[in-house]
Amino acid sequence: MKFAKKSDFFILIIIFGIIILFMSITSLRSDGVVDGAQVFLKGEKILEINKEGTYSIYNEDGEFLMNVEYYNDAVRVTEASCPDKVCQNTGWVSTPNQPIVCIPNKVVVKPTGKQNKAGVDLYTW
Amino acid sequence: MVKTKKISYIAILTALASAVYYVESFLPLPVAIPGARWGFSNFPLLLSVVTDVGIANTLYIAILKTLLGSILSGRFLSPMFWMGLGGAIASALAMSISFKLMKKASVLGISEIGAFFSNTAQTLIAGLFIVKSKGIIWYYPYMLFFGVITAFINSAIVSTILRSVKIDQFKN
Repeated sequence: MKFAKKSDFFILIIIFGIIILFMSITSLRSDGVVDGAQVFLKGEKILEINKEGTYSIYNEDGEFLMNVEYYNDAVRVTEASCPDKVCQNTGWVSTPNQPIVCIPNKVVVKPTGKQNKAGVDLYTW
Repeated sequence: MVKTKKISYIAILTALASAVYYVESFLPLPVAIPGARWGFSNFPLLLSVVTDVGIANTLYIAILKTLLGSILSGRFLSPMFWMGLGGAIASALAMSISFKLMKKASVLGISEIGAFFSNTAQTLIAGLFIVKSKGIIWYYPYMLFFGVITAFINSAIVSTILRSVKIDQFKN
């Protein structure tokens, strides 16, 4: 059995096509400035962040999960209790398109953004 | 092919896959993608597919390596375990079916198809049952790209094994 053949290029082209398709769907959507965050636990909204500060997230049993920080139009997660720390390594998120996901704790931190066109006009002006 | 030989071959591949599953949890990940793993434990699965042990036996290896590997690494019944199980079953099915259907298939092509279906199943399980948010779609293309790299490494390992180790083809 051969390592690679010509038909592999078609498979790779299809996979890269799907990658580019999903990237354009998720990244081109109304990019704005982050003005807060919503914290979801197992799909239910448990916290809405509007003011700058550090917020502690607990689960239903009162167990500490993580700190969510919102400063200078960006959101990040610190001191996560999960073993893999992926949510922490995501770092500062400054676009409302990218959520911070913590699989072991089942938490999604979704930055909310102003979807006004005035922001874009200001930059071009 | 003698039945005993086949059983021991499947057992060796399962043990290999479980050990790799356990060891790869110590490797640092270069990317911050929720639920991502290196996925090197899929190369015994790929080896079982290209040596034609049959769909049922490939599925056994996929389920057993996730069970044993997660018990060893202490992730049994955790969200990561369910994502791994779904991904392993999806890639085992996809790789077996594409090996049967595509007459022109090669090791790399089957590996890429398996990685694609594994990542898709993992994203679906995470989005529908674990975090219950469609926001995880944002990470889907990055996960697919990471899967393409891992699939290339896996297929390179498998073709090296096929070149250097004499494995009897299993004709059912």
